[in-house]
Amino acid sequence: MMSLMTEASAGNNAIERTVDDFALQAVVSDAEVLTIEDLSSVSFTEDETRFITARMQSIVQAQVSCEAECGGEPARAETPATLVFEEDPEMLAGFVLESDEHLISIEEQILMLEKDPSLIDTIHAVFRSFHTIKGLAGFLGLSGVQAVAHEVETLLDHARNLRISITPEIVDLVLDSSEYLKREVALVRAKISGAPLPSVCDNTVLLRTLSKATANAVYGRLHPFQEQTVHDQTPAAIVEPGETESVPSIATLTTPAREVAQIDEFASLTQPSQTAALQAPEAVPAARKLIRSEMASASIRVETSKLDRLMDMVGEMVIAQSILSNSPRLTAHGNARLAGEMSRLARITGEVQRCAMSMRMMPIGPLFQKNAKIVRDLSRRNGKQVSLELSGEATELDKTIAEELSDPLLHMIRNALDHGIEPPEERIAAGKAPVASLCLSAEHQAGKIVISISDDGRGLDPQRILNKAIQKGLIDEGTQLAQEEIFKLIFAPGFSTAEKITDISGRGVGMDVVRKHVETLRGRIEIKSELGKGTTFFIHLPLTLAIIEGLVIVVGQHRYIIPVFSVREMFRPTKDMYFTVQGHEEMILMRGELLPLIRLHKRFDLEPRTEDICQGLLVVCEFSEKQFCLFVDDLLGRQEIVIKSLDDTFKSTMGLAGCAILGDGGIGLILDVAGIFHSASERKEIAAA
Amino acid sequence: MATPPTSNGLISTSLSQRISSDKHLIFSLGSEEFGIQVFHIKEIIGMQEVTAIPKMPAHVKGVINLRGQVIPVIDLSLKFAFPSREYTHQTCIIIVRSQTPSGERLVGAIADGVTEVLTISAQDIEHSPDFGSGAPVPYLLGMAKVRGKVKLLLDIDQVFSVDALMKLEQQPLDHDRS
Repeated sequence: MMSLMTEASAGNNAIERTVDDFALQAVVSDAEVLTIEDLSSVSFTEDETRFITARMQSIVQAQVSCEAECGGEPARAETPATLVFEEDPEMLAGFVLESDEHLISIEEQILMLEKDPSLIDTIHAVFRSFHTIKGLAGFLGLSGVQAVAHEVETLLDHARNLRISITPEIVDLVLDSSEYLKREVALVRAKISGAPLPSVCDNTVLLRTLSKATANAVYGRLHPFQEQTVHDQTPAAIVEPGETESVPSIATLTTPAREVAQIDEFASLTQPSQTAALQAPEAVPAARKLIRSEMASASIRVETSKLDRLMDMVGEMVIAQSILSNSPRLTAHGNARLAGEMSRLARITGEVQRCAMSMRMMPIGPLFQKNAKIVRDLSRRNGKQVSLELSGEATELDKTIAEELSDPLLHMIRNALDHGIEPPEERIAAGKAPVASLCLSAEHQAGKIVISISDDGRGLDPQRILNKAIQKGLIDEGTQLAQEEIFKLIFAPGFSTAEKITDISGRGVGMDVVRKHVETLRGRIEIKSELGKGTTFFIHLPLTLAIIEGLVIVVGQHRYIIPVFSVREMFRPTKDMYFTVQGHEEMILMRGELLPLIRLHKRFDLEPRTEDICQGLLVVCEFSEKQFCLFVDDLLGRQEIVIKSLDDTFKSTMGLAGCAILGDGGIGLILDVAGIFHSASERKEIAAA
Repeated sequence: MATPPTSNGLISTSLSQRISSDKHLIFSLGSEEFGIQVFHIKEIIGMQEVTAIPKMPAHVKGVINLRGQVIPVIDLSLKFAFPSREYTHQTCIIIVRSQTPSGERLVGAIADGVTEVLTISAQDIEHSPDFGSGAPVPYLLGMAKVRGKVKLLLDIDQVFSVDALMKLEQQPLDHDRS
């Protein structure tokens, strides 16, 4: 108990000062006030804990009655700019995770409010998000975050009680605040990961603007809010007794002791979403459990590597199951019961596979939301009026794809805003509505996800693109191209149609990078555009990267897999399609198009079943706008495969992208069509040398 | 704490490691017998179909599917330039753990047959002999004489390193073989 006393006295000063406001000094004796922080660092016996808890409760009761007399006037102080918080990485991680979610939803909702300020439910939702962040920050002693969140909350409280309406200024303020909170959260994240700490942001200006806005908005009716911030060196959570509050001011309770006693009342007063991180008298352990259980109910964080391993093993299980059910020794038996059991197993493995797949999936909504703010900022800066419409936000896709997609999407949106959408005057002159519409949508289409970015702006001008491409030397003058092919020129490296270079786009790297990004995700981009009416980009993406569809082909004794996304078509050629070039290069004339012919058996030094192209099969492969015919013996089928990487021993082999276990347990090598194509030129170089 | 007993002047770090490093799996390639320390070996499987990888040196047979893991398979006989022979029902694949800078890696080694597990104490191991060519014999940790027979102990990290595997020409173990 001695050590406890000394520990306790350290935190005491802070408490005492706060308690002072409530004229409660007399009740509080030195050893009896313990902050949550102290509790976390001192170990107690059960008896001691019970004793302390009991004492604290009695103090708090006295305090409550006292405070009622004082009229619940909150503590005032300047907020310190430094970060004081508990050093519990797990709790901090929980804070970061939860705050991130709330900040995203705040941005989303405040932008909705900007469009329609009368959405009272949305105001409530934003209010609750700030409130939760405030509660969490308070518990962890992040006073800066807490103070800002509190001020915003105060402002929004007026809004939700319809005393003020949401103006663009308020929207700006709320966004600024969420920006500040984001930086603070980033700071906490850096602290957890041990990364170099970014500089602590100064919130004094923000706080002042916020409280001024509050004061102005309500015409000074509520003067006490001036400069009112919650200051506490001890980690204190703030309890806000919910909607039942009749006084317009927000009662802020700043001592942990108070909050301890309030917990029961609190639970009955507040709405579930507001319970944030408030603590039971058993203090820290219980509190942690509370935070954790809240997190657990929403999501569990699992390392991606573990998920990948699971995906891999589930893939194997599915394959093993199919090998088993196709095994002639089992099926030949004709045992009905065995067959029943087998189909049960098949069903279960199928279900497990779907589950495992869905774990990696996330809705695309947050990705779209991230861009909503950018659209708003950019359109303002460019003096353009844009209304952003989102659809299909619930469409799910693989987390890795979603993450990788963030950059290309941003590029394309910037492009649309910069090049596609005209200024209001120009739009009116063209007979369009002054407010342009930019539409982001996502949908599933035949086992793929299609994301479209559509604007009703200028549209692409084929003639201008063509001129530009000729000027840049990308194509020769007089080249005849279909409209589609002309549009694809904008993806060429170094192509940019913008007359002036802005800081947004126009450096001619954008679309090139976009295409590369999308291609690494095994996707492709399609453009539809009508001059003067607008442009739509379609990004076609696979649902997941772990499993691909492949065509299993055979050459001699060997089986190979060609990913379906790199195959355009396949056919059995006739003699009249075949041409030779100077006796050694071979070409195929297909629908007026000459395509180079590559024999896989020659590339890989294999013994084919046939050398006659009319006996075999041609697979038209494509990669980055290039096409060629690959000659193989035969097609075995189409199969979903789990991609595995090959050992380092084989890294020097051109033309292999990995391997996969086939349905019968054998291994099929996955072809990298680009590698196969390029290994040709490499060969010639060797031959020439 | 006294340092563990040492033999032959070598300090072993732990007793268990010393014991397991003494144990060697003995297998045959052609007419010769080789040894690999047991703790390097994951398992031994029967010969199975190996998927060939195009444009690889002849001793790199390809890859096999070991319960979902794809691992490369090397024919040690070909690697050491023994005369080629047919695979028999004695032929097996020894799955070996080899250490690389990037971590542990599994490699399968085709052997003509597995003989036994022998405890070879350090004093029975001699350095690989000098055949007068000056250069040390590659891949050999040493030679052990057991019951009047010689077993060649392989340095598996050397044998199975990616660089060594990719060397196009096969390297005879002994310089005087012919």
